[in-house]
Amino acid sequence: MPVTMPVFPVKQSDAAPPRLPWPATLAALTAIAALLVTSGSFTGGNALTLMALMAALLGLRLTPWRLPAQSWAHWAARAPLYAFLIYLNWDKLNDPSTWLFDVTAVSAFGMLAAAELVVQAARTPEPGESTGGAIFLLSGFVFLAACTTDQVTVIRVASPLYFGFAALSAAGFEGGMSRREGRASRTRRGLATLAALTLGAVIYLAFWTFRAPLMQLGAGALRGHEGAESTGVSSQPTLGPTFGQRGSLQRVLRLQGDGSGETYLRGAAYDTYRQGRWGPAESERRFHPVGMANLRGGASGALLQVSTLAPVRGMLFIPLSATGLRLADDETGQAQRDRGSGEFRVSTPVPAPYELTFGGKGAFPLIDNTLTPGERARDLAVPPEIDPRVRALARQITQTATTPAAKAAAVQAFLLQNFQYSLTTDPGHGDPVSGFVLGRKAAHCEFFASAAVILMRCAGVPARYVTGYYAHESEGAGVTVVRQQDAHAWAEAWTTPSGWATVDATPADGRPPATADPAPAGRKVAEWIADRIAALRAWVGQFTTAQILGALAALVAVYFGGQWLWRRWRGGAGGDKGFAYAHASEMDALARRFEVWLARGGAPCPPQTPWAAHIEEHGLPMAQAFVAHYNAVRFGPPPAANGLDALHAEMAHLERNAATHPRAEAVA
Amino acid sequence: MNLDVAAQASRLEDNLGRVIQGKGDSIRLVVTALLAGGHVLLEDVPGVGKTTLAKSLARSVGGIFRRVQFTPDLLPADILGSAFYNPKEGTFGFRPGPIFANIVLADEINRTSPRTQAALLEVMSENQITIEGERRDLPQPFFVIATQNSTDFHGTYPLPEAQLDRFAVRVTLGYPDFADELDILQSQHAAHPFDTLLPVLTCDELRQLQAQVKTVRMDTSVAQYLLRLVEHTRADPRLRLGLSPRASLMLYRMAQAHAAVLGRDFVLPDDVRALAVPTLAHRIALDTRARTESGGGQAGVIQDALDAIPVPR
Repeated sequence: MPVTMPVFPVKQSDAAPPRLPWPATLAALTAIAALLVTSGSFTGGNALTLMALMAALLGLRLTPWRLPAQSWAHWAARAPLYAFLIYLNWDKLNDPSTWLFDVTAVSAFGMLAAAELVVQAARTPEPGESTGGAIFLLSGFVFLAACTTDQVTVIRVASPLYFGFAALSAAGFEGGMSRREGRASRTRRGLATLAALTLGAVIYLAFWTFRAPLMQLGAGALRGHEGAESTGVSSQPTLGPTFGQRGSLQRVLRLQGDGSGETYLRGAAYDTYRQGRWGPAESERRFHPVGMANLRGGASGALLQVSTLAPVRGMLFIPLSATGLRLADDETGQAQRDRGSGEFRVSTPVPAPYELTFGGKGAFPLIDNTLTPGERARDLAVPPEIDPRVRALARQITQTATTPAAKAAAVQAFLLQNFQYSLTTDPGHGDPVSGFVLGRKAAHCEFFASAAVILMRCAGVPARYVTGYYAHESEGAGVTVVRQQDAHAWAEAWTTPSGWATVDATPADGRPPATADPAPAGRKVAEWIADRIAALRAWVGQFTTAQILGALAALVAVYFGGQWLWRRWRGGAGGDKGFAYAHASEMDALARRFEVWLARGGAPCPPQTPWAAHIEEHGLPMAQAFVAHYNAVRFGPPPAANGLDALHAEMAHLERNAATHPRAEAVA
Repeated sequence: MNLDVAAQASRLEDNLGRVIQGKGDSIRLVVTALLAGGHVLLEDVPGVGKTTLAKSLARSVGGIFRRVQFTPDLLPADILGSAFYNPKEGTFGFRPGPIFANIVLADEINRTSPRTQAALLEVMSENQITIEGERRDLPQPFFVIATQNSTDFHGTYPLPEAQLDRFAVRVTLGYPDFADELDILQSQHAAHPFDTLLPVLTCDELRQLQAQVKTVRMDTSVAQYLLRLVEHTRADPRLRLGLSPRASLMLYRMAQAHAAVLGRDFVLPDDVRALAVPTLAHRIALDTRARTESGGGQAGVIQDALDAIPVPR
């Protein structure tokens, strides 16, 4: 490879490197500018670095200056830039678990990508190679990093520019038509440009039209962004024209294990009905800490693991028949329970995965199976605003039933057979439940649940209103996923001596499997990808930054060390690439010395001329021996063991006798 | 060893030098091409000794020599041979044409129609003939030396690019200078030196030399340099047709042969540079504008490539 003489980077003389293609350069400048603007400030280390990078890129486009071709030069440019940027952004990068797509980490990686982009642009490419491709790809990453912020105005201005330049760059448009090209070629180029710009415009319009779902997808992948959708069950259900909890496809829970036959995941129960609203509200409950010893269930029970995937205000969703609860280690001791409603909660909004056990010898149910007199009274209370005809209807329905269980069954059958499900309903002016029971006959599950509770109370069965999720969607073997749209309301009746029993009076076409929108395939794929990323993130989060950097440094050392060892081994065996390859740096040094000798003698050798021709042309017969010997070592079969020593000796001889160099004399 | 190649080549050159005075470079090119296993195209003005050189080369190497005089009415069967019906035995026989020889002189190759020129395509690149569906191999070594005038336009059919690509080198002789021409006149005073020329190599020896040439070492950096030259021409906007992989292969062999002739067992970039113009110039096709403008023509394009690509050190 051509050797240039001084130590600092110099212009490669006559074989000029290809210019940076201007579409890729402009795309890169647009992306870096977008990152600069969305970073928020124009002062501060990051902003100034970005501006310096933009200036450098512009300079590289306008001048033919490049870094020397040796790899040390690239690393000499790259290492300080990276070190400086990592230093500036250390607080964003020091936790590896954030590397997988936290917003701040992504913007820091965007800065590193911008730095790498400029290093790639400054590189001397191999003959025939263009660095446009690398610049284009890196600019894409920088632009994505800029888009992770919410500054829509900037994105709106920057995207058409970026997509336009990117389209031109991808179309291979290098610009600069020579005069020699004919009209047909110009037409062709013009059409190609038009096609590229049209494609860019189409992509931009598509991007802009679908920006909402795209941003949602991005927000789903990025942490640190609040999900746009709300999840969890309400703190105080209110009977209204639509089901208040009706929600989105957002995944809320994942159930794994053999207890996953459980479908009703209860969150909280409500026992006080007042004017279309169930209470007490969450804020009015009395939570007491729970000793974990009390929560361990029977040893031989079925196991269900519940993972929470979205914020649910710390609520734990537990089926009625659960007998044991085991929390994650760092949440043990945080659990609180409201005994009356059977609601369990922890203090973190998204609880860590917890385990439930079912059955097992000598196990007590988690949801208390006792009814204090006060609770009994509340659970039997029929509020005064309920129409007396409802009471009469209840007695009529349950007249043939003797046990509480039978009465509950009768109420459930009545509601199922005589009422229709409808997502919307008109609650009317009076009491909504009375109106529903006596006249409306088409409403959503909250009404059905409320009506069931009120009717059962009228019939003398203690009952309460429960909100939670209905699990039905299988995600694979033994795994069930629960989405926000599976939120449901049902009733619980006290049917002694078994305790509380679930009474779901909503017709089948009103329960979530029928009313839930099936998740589209695209969403399922996106969720699968998000799960893999979350798993990777969790795995990476186990390590500290020091460990990861240490591992990377070890890999790099192994790579370069292995290469060096390989070269030595091959060189020692006189491998195919020969002696010169194994001793490349020594040969390089000798070559450089010779070129310096030539230059000092006033006859610098251009890179296209072989030395032999050059010394013959300039009348330097004393160098013939060295050149012949050097060529034999460099291009010929492996020499004897001391081959290089002779070369060094000859070079030294030439340098010593430089004073008697005919050209030097002439110059001097 | 390789001294053999250098020594034998030198003997061959001396032998040829007795007949062609003063054209040492051209003679060396022809000998290099012979050792590289390629074919030679001698292109020059009439009367400078092209046919004499070809005949002398043929005489210097023992072996079968055939001459084909290309005329406009020549048919492919006249070159390759034809099948004929033998009524006595009731079968078809094959009468081989003049191409079945070790050295073939194709004189005035551009005076015959393209149909006949095309007959040589397979012969020169693959050393075999396919006639009547049957494949016949040519004798080894097989060497075609063709001559043509560059200046005549009447009654000539310029060789197609495919045919030109099959010649390893295009050699020009040029007019001899004063002293050499005087030498020519005086040496042909009584008799032509050609009449007393004797062979210096046998066919087997030539085959051995060709095999030895193939063992000459070429470092990867030199091969890369060679390829960069070739690639540079492919990107040149002046060219309608750039260099083919056959061109790079031919230059590779020629560089090996050149190094062997100079007594080295490894190739230097200098060898590649020395052979670039003769080996590559005749293969490229300039587009119309470049052909009419000045700029050195084909040789100029190759020289530009040589000036643009840095030499490995």
